[in-house]
Amino acid sequence: MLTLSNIAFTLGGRLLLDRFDLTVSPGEITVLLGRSGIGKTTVLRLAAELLRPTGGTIVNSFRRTSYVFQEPRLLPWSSALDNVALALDPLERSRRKRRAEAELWLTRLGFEPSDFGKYPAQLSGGMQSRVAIARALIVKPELVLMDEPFAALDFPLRRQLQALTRDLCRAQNTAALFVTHDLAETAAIADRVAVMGGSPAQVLSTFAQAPTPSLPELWVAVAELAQRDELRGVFDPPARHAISR
Amino acid sequence: MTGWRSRALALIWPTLGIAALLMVWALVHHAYGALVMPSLADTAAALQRIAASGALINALSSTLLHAVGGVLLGISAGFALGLAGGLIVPLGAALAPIASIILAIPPIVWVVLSFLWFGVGGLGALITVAITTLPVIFAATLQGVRARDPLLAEMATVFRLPWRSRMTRIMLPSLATVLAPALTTAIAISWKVALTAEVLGDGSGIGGRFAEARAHLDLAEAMAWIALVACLVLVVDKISLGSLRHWLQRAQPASSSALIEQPARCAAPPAATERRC
Repeated sequence: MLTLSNIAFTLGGRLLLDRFDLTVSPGEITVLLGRSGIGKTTVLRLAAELLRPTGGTIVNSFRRTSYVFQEPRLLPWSSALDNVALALDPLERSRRKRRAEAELWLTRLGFEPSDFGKYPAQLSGGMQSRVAIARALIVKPELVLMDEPFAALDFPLRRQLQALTRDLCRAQNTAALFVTHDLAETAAIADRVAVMGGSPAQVLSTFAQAPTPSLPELWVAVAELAQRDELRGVFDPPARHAISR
Repeated sequence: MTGWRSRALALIWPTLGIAALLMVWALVHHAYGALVMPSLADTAAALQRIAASGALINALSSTLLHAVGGVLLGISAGFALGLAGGLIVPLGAALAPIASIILAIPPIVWVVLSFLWFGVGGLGALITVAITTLPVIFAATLQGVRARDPLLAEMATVFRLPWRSRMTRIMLPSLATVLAPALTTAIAISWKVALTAEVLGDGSGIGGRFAEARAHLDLAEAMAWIALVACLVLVVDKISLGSLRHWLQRAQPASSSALIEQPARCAAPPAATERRC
């Protein structure tokens, strides 16, 4: 379980997070939903120990944590196969086994053997995202942190990758903390939603969310999500008087 | 078959370039006579004499030791200092002006100083090559380390990559793009400096033999030694940097025009339901 308790975080003298509480349970996909720039990525970076909180405690009892960044962050000089196998470097000594496992994961994510040797520059955006997902999941993490990994992709591809990610996490019983500002993405992938808002930011509310496999169901779920009291004010445009002022 | 053809095609233009150079040589000889430029046939005959006399092996091994030994020393020290300077910011800041000073000093100054410090023997030439090539590699490594992608470093931290993987899979490949031209420069400098040191030194190596041929006004032999050096430079450059350049060519992000057309099946992942694990 990942628990962030009473977290405070200051950056450049500005208090970004205050009294921030969040729990991610095993096997559950928790979506951290909030508008752009509120500090969602900061929360992921704190969870990944890339940042230290100014106050509060973070307890990560998951045995292995992995990360899918907003941009794929692939090694441009390594093939798709080597990029995926890279994540196994600290876990598996045999290069042959690392590559065999990477082949398995790339196949699982829809790659043909002829794509294994391609460099990132030769792959489309969607393929690069899939390589990044394979790299994150090949280590069989108990928790994967996902930072809007599909934000740059078009809707159909995004939807397919959301479903694929969800299925792969389910199959491995991997918990995920998925950051997004997109209601459709939230409805498509979340088991639980944590709504982030305020300034300094904190988790305003959390609620369970049912998975939505088909497209018509997704739009219904998005409409329901948009109507929820928990989201009131979080994504609304600023009041007119605030703009004129 | 295709591989052979492409390799043969890749050789055509360099061969034409060298042929053009030889043609200019022949034209100069034809226009100004053997006192200015010996004929190609005389030079080839001189080369044959050198090879038959046994002087070739001695001179070649001496020059190789000075140039290759010196440049290896310079590259190792420059790379180590550049890496340390890039990772430890104050050290890099302290070393950078020293490297600039060394770079600005003409190699001839180091040749003279080396002779004073180490004598006119082989060690002086070797140390001179090392001193003149060190700052070139240092500056390139320092710049490469400083300009490395912090996002990839962060990725390595998240995946808890061991030190060795970070170095071999991330740091060294990211340095390759800046190091390749620096290595080419350092290797070219190494020959120039080694030959200068040998010409001014104890007469050892190709430089020493060249100076001797010049003293005897044997222009054909002097040109034969020069031709030998040119061949040596090309071979050493190909052996030492050929595979690095080939790797860089393959691994550099392709330009948008060179991007491989993705077939429709690759553009989208399979339906999630088909790929349940």
